[in-house]
Amino acid sequence: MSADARTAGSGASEGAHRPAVCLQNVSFAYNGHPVLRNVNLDIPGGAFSCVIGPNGGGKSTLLKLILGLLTPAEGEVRVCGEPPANVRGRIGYTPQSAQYDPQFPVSVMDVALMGLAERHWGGRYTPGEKDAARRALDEMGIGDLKRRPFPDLSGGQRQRVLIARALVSNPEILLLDEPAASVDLAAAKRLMHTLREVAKRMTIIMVSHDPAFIFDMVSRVICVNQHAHIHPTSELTTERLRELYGEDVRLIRHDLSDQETDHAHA
Amino acid sequence: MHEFLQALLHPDIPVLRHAMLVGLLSSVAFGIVGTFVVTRRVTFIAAAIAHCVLGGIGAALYLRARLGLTWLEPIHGALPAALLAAVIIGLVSLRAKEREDTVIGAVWAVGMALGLLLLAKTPGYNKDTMSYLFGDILLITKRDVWLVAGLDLVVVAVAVFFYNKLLAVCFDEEFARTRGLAVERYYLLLLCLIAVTIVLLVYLVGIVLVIALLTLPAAVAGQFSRRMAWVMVIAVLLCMVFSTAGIALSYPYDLPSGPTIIVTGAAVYLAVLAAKRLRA
Repeated sequence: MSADARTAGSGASEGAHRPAVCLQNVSFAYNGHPVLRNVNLDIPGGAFSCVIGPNGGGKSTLLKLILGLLTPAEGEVRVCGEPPANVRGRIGYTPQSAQYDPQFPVSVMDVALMGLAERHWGGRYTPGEKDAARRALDEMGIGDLKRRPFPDLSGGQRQRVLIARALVSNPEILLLDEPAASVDLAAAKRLMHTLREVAKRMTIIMVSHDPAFIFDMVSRVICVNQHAHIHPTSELTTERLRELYGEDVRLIRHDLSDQETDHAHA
Repeated sequence: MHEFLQALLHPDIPVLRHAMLVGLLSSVAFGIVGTFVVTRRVTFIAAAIAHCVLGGIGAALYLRARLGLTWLEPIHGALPAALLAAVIIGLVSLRAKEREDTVIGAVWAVGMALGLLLLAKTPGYNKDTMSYLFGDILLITKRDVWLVAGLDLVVVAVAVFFYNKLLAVCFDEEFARTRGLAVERYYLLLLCLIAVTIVLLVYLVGIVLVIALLTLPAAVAGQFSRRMAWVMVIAVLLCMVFSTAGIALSYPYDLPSGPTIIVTGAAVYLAVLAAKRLRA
């Protein structure tokens, strides 16, 4: 296992923000296969954190626990001090953009408005809600695409629509699952730039399997491989990062069989 | 064509008018619900629900004959059977993620088998089962037209009212769940809408063929628009054209109306695909 001695623990060194997300002794298993073991994490509010780790190491599981889509087998997850199910309206979620049906007949605007689908018992969206969706699309720099069919967009544009959908409800915490996964490097850099603007007003937690270009953008790095450790980026020297990244690469190879079984049961 | 119009207006042949009305009325529900079926990819589930309807028809005819309930029509058994099948299949597909198709296939066949057993034991029943499987316009009465109109109204009102939620749940179930939407409830609601819609056209096209009328108009409409609401509008119009044209074509050549409607729809679907291929 990754006996990582450099744990920075729960040190919320920046600002007086209360922890946005708090995990205590959290364990989770899929059909008896442990994915997360005894995870303790305090993710400070207002910070831009990145979750990295090998595939099958538990990154997405961690995200789903924070979203309340999964319930921990042991331990406790608190978001803004409450169980995730109580604060759903305050969390924005952006899944990976590659999973959508390429024939689904929806426009960009339709997708953005889905971020408000829980607001009404039924009926139509109000003009105010449509304005909010337009503003969110504008903020993501794709306001001019709002009438286009969603499946016609490029990977990077789709990702921006999905982020707009998460932002339209004005959440306190934004969770992103691999926003750069189906995006080329230049577009990924532009996306990170936009996200850094968004990070000025909310907590962002982003999962990435490719940490190389992210470190200068985020303030916290959370390494997940069954266990989880949080590192303030400022305390990580280039050498240590390389060490950490190298260790991850080694662990990916080491855990290859685990990863396959996890996949089969997911 | 002239012959058909004469027959349509003939006071002694109301059954043709009733069939046309049932076709036109139910097209509204078929276009809207069919679009959900195609985009959410639940054709297999819809087909299973449709076949379970035979169980309900069998039960209604059996009870009518055995208990002398003369008011009991096949459609009174068809509706609860379709709804029950929708709920059972819906719960199976939500809970048992593995082997979902196996269980649905079994429910499909068991529903039909029960219907056939009940029909076999129904005294005095000697109409052929074919009528319910493949449709028969002679089964349609004036009362059915009113019943179809009422159910149609319910389906359309519910689908339009919950449109945004159903769209969000169909597009991205996981995200809808993170917004606190009761995803499972909306999924079951959608399956129940499908169930009621299927019952609307059981007499006209039959439980085996009904599935094509649910999917073909939406599939053709999907070639013309990339927005859900427009796909629905086009699918409604196409469904009206298919059912009317099918009845009109079947009459002069003395063909069964159900298969004629389905083949008409399939021909249009293929023609549209071919035209698109040629233009590209």
